[in-house]
Amino acid sequence: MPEIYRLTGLRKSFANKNERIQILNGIDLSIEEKEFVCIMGNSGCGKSTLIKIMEGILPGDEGSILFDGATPGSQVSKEMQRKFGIVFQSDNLLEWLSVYKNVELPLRVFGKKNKNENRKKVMDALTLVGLQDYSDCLPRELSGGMRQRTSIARALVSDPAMLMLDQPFGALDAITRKALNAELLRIWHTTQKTCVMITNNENEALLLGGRVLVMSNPPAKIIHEINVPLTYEERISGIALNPAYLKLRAELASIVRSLGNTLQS
Amino acid sequence: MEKNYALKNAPLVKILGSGIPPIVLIVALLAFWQISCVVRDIPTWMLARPTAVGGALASGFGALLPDILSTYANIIIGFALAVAIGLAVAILISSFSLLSSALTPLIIALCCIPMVTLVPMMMLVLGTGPNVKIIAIIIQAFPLVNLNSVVAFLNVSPERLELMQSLKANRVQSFLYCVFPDGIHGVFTGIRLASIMAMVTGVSSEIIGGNAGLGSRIIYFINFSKTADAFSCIIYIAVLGIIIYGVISIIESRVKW
Repeated sequence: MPEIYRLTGLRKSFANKNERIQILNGIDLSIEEKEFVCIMGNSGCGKSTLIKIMEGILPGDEGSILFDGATPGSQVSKEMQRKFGIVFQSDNLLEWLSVYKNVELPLRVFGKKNKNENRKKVMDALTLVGLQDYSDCLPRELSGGMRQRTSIARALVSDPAMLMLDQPFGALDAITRKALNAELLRIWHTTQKTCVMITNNENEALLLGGRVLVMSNPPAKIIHEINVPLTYEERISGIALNPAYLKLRAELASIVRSLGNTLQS
Repeated sequence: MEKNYALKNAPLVKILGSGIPPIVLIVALLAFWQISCVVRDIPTWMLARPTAVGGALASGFGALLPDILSTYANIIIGFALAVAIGLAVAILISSFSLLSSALTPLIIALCCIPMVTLVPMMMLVLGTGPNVKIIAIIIQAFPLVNLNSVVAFLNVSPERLELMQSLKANRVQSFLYCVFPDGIHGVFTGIRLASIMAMVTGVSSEIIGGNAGLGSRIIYFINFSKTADAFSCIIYIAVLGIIIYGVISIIESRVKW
């Protein structure tokens, strides 16, 4: 597959009271089209900072981005920004809008006025995440898992080139999280989107990721890259007993342990 | 247990339930007032009895109507303008930090100055007509709408702003889709407080000068020891307060999320 996204030599530091703290210290990564990449790292290692820079919300200090054949300047252009579908750490739904209107929001902000076309796109996105019957609900009437599904639908409604997920299921209980992981895998398989997901969960990373990148503690670099050569069919059918998966999980677990075992907390 | 619960939620019971306690309390207070006056034989010129106030309400309405309308009009116009100006200035202040630092101290000062002290001087310039009263109401009430709205608009969660940023929403879109609905409760807090200020300022500026309006009527009646008529004016003022409060509540419940 051709490369869709490349990040070279990304550095980022934050100013504290009397010093600058280097958070990201030379991150290089390359993502191919239709790939699912998971990024792991300790709490506080700059995972969220990294994905925010990748999706254009936060400026980096140094380094260059090549996305879909273009390099953004200091300000990410409208066209480029709108090629990212973003799922936030909290679901970040607007409480005063119905599920339908929340999902429709990107289309309205983008100035897409064709009502029928928008309706079709919104309903397609809601159907994809299994919420087609809940379009008139308010976010507060939904469970945590359903809220995060809505937020995935919102990220997908504008047919973005890349789906960026920042620990989307971190706040969910274990059972819901498992269900949504399977759901996300199916969505990825159906839509064939390029996905980047930040996670702090090894099982999640190996279930979803074609590649898992592990970040060191700050100043962070990518210190490990694990290929997960499992097919979609293998992933959806009893992955927990798959020997290849178990071997990778042991490997990833030992890497994670070597970082100072705070990852699961 | 279940039956009890069902009864509590029956619509009729709900309406009566919300209406009965205040009515019972008011009736009890009026009865206490009446009985105290009768038992201790308090003269009417000192404290009118509820029955006398009721009589004044019935007989004096026609004569008071121009004053009622004048007070109501001043307060409603002044309050509506104060809300509009307060919101407009809040939108400007929350969007441009330079404006915020320039205007905020002035607005806080306006909020703190008791209008009673400024109105006599304004009357020297503007006379005692309705204009000066409406201006006084605006000056006193708009800062409350303004300050509360600014706080609400600036306290939008950073994540929501990130969402708007990630969609490359422009300023207007970001305000309409995110900042304004997010801050609507703060705006209504300001509007409620401003309505109280508008009532107080409207009536007290009538007391200070001019001979139109319920405020000036109260002074007139007290000068002639017509306490029952003075009380009837106060009741008309209270009615306006309740009407404004009710309208605000209805509007708020419509836009509530």
